Parts: sequence; structure tokens; C-alpha cells
Amino acid sequence: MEEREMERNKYSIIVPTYNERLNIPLVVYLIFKNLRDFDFEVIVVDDGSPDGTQDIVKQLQQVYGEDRILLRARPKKLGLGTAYLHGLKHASGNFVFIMDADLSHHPKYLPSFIKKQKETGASIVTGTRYVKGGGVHGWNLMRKLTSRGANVLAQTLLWPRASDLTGSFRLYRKSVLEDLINSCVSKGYVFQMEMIVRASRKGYHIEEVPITFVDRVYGSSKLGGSEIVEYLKGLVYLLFTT
Amino acid sequence: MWARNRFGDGTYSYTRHRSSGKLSLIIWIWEDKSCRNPMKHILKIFTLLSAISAFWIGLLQASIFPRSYTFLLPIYLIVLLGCYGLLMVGIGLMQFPTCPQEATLLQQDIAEAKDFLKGKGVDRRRYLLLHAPPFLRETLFNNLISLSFND
Repeated sequence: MEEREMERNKYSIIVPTYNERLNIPLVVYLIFKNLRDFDFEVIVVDDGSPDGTQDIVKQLQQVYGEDRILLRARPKKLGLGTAYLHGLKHASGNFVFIMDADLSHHPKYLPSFIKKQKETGASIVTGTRYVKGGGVHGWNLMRKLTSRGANVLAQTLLWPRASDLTGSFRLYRKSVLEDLINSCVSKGYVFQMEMIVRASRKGYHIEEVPITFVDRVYGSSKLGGSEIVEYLKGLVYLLFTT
Repeated sequence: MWARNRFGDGTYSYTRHRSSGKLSLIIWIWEDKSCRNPMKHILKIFTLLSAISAFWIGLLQASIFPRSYTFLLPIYLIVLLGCYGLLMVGIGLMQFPTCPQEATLLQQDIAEAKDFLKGKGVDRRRYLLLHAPPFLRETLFNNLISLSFND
């Protein structure tokens, strides 16, 4: 029974990109290296990057095959939630991974997500950086402080059943992801928080897996300065509407 | 009384409540298992605050402790909450798991990936120089020269 189920599961990995020309080939190589025994596809949702990300993805399609790497581009930056929705429309698997393309999420953890999901039958498996076995690298004290403070605040106010709310390295059952995306309205990383909080309120089975998070290798991080205000507004919104 | 724990994806399990009665019913609703209309989170917090306020007013009425202490009880609780929060932040900060070895492993993986891709003819940097507008080409060219020492 177990083997038959394994053969039937197909994993769609949605990777939203913007100006990730240097990182995306490395990510794709590592995905293929670590998921040899599974049936999967990689869906790259590019928001009209001017640096030629789509060009490099087409080169990768020549190497790996167009059925394994799907390029579903959009004309311009339209937001993360819609990127996932767009990717979902073209996903043919019954499970969906979401991850970042900047190598801060290492594809070597993909099998551990799958293993955890099989063991527990969970609908959502989140990667968490805050438990033993996980961790970060390249963060200075200020960043650790804000991250920890934000986490404690969110835990006190919202009582979610997850330890890492803003992480975006997750595995969802496809039906669960569709349901959640249609009920979430925030933008940016507050969107990730809203997803996990709404999932927790709806009673979905959520499990966690430790992951390591190494700060961006190439390119510039897309975090700005007014993030704290946005975060607090997001918390208040979640407090009153979930 | 039986409780049906319904996971949002349609699966469910049954557990039996040891005791029946009002308290277990309250806990059951609080945990919002198998409720069709679960209580909104802000309502839960509101209920908790109301319970604490009722307790506080009860203490004031009963006059067990001196009035001045009882009046200041909410302040004590808020300060306690603040201290708890700071403690959690401090503990979390000290115990923040770090993984410096992951950076080295990542560099190894990147080197491996670059070799493989070079072998297959995938060129990550070519586009930048060929398709940049003329006024950018010189700066890009200089940057690429310095970058290529690490490549």
C-alpha cells in the first residue's frame, strides 16, 4: 500500500522568481539532485524579470526537459499570492511545494518534508528555522532580535500552531493550498503568515520540519525598511479577522 | 460525550470525553474541534479578558486583600506579561540555532552545480553583457571582471 501511494504522489514545486538569473540554475540543479526518487515538476513563475531569468530557464529546459521544468511567466510584478495561484493553475501534482529561488531554502530538505508528510498524513508541512536541527546563518544580532521579537509577538497574540510564521518553505496538499489562497488577501510575507494562521484556524493538520536558512548568496535581498509597520498592521489584521 | 476531531482536509477521528458537563463543554468549544462555526480569535481573547476582569471585580468586592493592592492587580499582570515577553525574546535569542557549517556546504553545492551547468552549456552571465543598454555595458563589464575572479 505504501509503495503504491508513493508511486501515485506527484510533487509540483512552485518557485516565484524576479531577477534570479544567477540563482535559479543552481536551485534547479540541486532540486534534481535531491529528488531523484520522486515524481516531480518545477514551475518557475517569473514576473517579467529584466535580467534574463526566463532566458536561462529556457536553457535549463533544454537540459532537463520541458515536462520537468515549466516556465509560466507573467508580464510584470503582480505579487506573491497571485504568483502561487498562477503556478497552481499549471500544477499537475497532488502535492505542492513552495520555496524561494535565492538559495536561502536549500533543496536538500525537500525529501525530509515528503517523509514527514508520509509519516503523519499532514496536509501542510512547514519548514521552521527556530527549532533544534534548523537554524540561520549570516544574520547579525539586530536581525535575530527583530525576528525573535516578531515571532514572540505573533505567538502571544495569535496562538498559531506553528513556530515559524513567516517562513515560505512549505509543502501543501494541492486542495488545501487552493482553499487557503482563495481566503487570503494580504501581500508580501504577511501573506505567508496569513496562510498558516488561517490553516490553523480551519483545523488543517500542520507539521513542522527543521530547515536551515543561509542568507542570500547572489543578488540583493528584497526586504525594505517599512517592514516593521507592515508586519504590525498584518498582525492586527489577523488578530481581528481570523 | 464523544468529540469528533475534524481536520480541515476531511479526515476525522473520534475521542471520548472522560467527563461530561459544563466545564468540558466550554473547553470543547474553546478548542473549536468539530464546530461548524469556530469562535473568532479576537472573541477568545475577549472572553479571556472578561473572565479576568470578573475575577478582579470579585476580588474587589470580597475585600480579602487590601483595596490598594487589588486595584493595582491589572498593572501587575500587564508588567508580568511584558516581562514574560522579554524573557521569551531573550531566551530565544540566546538559543537561536545557527549553522555556520551550512554556508560551507552551500558553497560546495554551488561549485558542484556550476561545474555541471558549464558542462551542459548553460551560461548564467552571458545575457547581462549582451543585452545591457550601452551606457550600462561599461560598468557591467568592469563588475563582471571583478566577479569572474570568484567564478
